[in-house]
Amino acid sequence: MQTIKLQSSDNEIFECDLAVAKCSATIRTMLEDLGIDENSEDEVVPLPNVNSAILRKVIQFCTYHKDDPVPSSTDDDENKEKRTDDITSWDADFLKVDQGTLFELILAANYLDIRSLLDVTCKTVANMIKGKTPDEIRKTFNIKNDFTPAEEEQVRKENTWCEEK
Amino acid sequence: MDNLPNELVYNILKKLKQKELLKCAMVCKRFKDIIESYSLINKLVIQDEVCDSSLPVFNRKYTKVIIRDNNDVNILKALQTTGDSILEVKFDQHNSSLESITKTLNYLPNVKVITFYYVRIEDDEEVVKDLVQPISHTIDFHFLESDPLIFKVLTNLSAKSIELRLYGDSPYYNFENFMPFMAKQKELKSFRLSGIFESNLMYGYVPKGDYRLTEFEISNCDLEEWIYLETYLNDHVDSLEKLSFRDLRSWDPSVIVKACNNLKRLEILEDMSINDIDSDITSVKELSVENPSLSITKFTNLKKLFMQNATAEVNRAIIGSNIENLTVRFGTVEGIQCEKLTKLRLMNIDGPLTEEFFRNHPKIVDLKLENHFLLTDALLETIVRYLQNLKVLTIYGMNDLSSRAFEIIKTHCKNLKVLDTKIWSQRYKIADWKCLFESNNGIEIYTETFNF
Repeated sequence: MQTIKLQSSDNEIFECDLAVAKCSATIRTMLEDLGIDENSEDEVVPLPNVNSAILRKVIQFCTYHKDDPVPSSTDDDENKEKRTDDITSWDADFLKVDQGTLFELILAANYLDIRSLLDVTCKTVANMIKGKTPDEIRKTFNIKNDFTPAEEEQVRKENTWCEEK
Repeated sequence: MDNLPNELVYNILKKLKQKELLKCAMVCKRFKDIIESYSLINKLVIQDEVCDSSLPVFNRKYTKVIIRDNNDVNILKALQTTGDSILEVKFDQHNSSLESITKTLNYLPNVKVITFYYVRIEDDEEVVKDLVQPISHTIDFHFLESDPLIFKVLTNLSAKSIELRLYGDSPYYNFENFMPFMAKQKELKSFRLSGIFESNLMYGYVPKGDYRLTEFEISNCDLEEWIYLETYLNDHVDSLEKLSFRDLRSWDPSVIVKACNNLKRLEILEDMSINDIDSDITSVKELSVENPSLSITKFTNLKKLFMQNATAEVNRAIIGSNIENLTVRFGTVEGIQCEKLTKLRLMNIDGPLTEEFFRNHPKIVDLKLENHFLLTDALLETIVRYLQNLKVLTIYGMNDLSSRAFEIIKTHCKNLKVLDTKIWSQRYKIADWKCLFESNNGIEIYTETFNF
């Protein structure tokens, strides 16, 4: 099995299957554009935006999902897009992490361009928002209410034009 | 959340429905700005409660509007500012007037989908002064249990598709305003009818119109005279690609089916049958039939077949066909032998499944078994031993499997990617599922019963 070396921001080297690394569109492009020889033993792909703890998780995710069929659907299907209850049991288990890690995984998935990971992490955060009041959302994510009373009133007023009863 | 760039916060928020987004817009300025700049809240709802006298200031870009109110002042006030961006309008469950509908649509020059849902017309003015102004592009019309009088003001609009659906004891029987609307159409592709009884729709000659109809569906209707429908469809036999007939007990569509020469998909379901086919029909690739007769052998190029109440006699008649995708609901699988089968769905079938059946169909990659009471561990083992290419296994509803089923799947399904189960009997322990889950061979498990 062909392998590749990945270097995290804190200089840890991870050796993983080439097929696993290629789940990342960013790594795929790097290998093609930079002409890094896949057979070379010494080449290391630097990933300065991902620390070792997160890179370990990402590799774990990609190892599990490396044989998944590539979804053919695009963003167009709104109903599918808005489904957040279709997270598989393995993914749900994998994402039982603290909020900081979850957001770092989102950043890493975006930087490495791993669509399935970005999708499932964003869904997980969306599920944390669902069913909560604005105040509960602020508490959950430690967000400060920075509206002036007038601005808040304007949003509230516009919302009344959008409520399906 | 602060560390995430706006684009990624958008990625999260776009997973939420409008009801949740309204709350997110109240959380902080950043959320509000992202929601506005990506137009995430896009549905405007005009209803009685919003009888505010002040003119609303809209910061959001709306593409859909739901109208639940006949208060013209409110509708016009809102649509003055936002009407140009609206692509979809739904007139929803209210009493309206032709005048109000006309005024509303005249504010929506870019609308592409128009739905009337339980709309009752209160005025019956003989003369309508302001017809809806022409719109240059085509429109999808959905017309559900609403007064056909509405078509009187729509004659300037060009339809891409029309759905006419009435439910139960509809008070509407007079479609005389619909016919002039149909006669003017030039771009109509799809026409669907449902739930129409004791009306004057299709009672009389329907002009062919200057359009190429590709899809026609009719279900649960009782037209006064079927001859007018036959004449109408006969005018379109060269362009029709999809026909669907359901629950039309007093009519046999054979004559139309035989006349169509470009038909790709055909459905004849719910107490209907097609018996009078005497020559080969080569264009149809997808067929759905109930109570199939030997006439299905006349469809010589089928790739996809759905049969309800299949019989052994019919099954033997299609041996050696090119069917790749087969669904059998009720009836039997006895006699089926389709070597190219890759996708098989069996729903509530009678009688046992034999070893021979699966030995004859080794190419199956996607198998769905619904409510098969006779599905035992031994049968499952037989199935998965013969179906070495199986990638997706779906087992819904009642069955007679024990927890050994998980061991069997784990051992034999080397290529399985998806195991999908719903409404199983709940006697299995989570540990049984974990045996699969922890084998870590990449199977995605979907289930309603358990949460790991």
